[in-house]
Amino acid sequence: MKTAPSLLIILGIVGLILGTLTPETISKLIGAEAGYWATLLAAFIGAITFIPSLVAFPLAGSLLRSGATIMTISAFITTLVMVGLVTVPMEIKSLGKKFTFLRNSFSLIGALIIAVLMGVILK
Amino acid sequence: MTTLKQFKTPILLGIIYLVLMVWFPGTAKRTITVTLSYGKEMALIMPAVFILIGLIEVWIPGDKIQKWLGASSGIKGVFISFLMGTLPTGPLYLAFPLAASLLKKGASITNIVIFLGSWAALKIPQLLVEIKFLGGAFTIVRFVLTLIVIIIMGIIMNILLKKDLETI
Repeated sequence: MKTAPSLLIILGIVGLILGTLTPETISKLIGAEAGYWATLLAAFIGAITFIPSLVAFPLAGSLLRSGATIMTISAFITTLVMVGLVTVPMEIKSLGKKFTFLRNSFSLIGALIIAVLMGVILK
Repeated sequence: MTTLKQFKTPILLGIIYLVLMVWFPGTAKRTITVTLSYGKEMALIMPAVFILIGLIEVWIPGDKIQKWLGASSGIKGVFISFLMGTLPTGPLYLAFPLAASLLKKGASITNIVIFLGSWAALKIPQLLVEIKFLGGAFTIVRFVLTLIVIIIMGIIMNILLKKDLETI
C-alpha cells in the first residue's frame, strides 16, 4: 500500500510530460539548433522524460538525419535511459536518498562525458 | 488523515488533469492515453517483479549472493551484474526494489550500480532497436563508453556509500 501513492505520482507525471512534450516538440527543441546548448538541452530533456526505447530511438534517428549532432543525440539517449527524475520517488523508497541522488547525478555527468567522446570518436 | 496526506501529490496531479481537460482538451487526451497505457504496463509487470524478489529471498541463500555479488566477488561479480542487467526486462523503476533486495542480501554497491546501469542503458532488446535506427557504429561506441562509465560510477559510489550501507 505504501507504494501506491508513488506509483500514481509516476503515472501522473509521465502522462503529463509525454502529453505535452510530444516527439514533434522535442524535435523542435533540439533538432534545429546545433552546438553545446542543444546538447545540454537534449541531456535535460532526456533526464526529465520517460519514453520507451521503441519511440525514443526512431525519434533520435530522425533528429540525427535532420541535422542534430552526434553529441546531442548521444546526450539525449544516454540521459533518457540512465537518469530518471520521474522515478526518483520510487528509487528513494527502495535505495535511499543518498544512493538515488548520487546515481542520478553521476549518470548525468557520465552522459555528458559520453556525449562529448561520441562526438569526437564518430565525427 | 495520514492517508490523505500520502495522496497529496496524486490529488494535485488529478486537479492538473482536470484543468487540462477544460482548457487544453488535445493535450489532456494525449496525456490520459499515455497514463492509461503506462498504468497497464505497470499492472502487468509489477506482480512478476515482486514474485521474482520473493523467490530470490526464499530460494537463494545470502551467502550465495555474497559470494557472487559481494565485495570480494571481483571481476566475476561485475560480469554477473552486467549480464543480469542486460537480460530482456522491463523499465528501470522495476529494478529498484530488486536491487534493494540484492543489497540487503550482501551484494556490493559497485555491483548494484553496474546492475542498474546495464539494466537502464545496455539491455539487449534496446540495443537491437538502437542498431536499427542509429546504426551499428553509434551503438557499439555508446555501449563501450557507457559500460566504462558505469563501472567507474560503481567504484566511486561504493567508496562514497560504504558507510551508509546499513541504512539502505
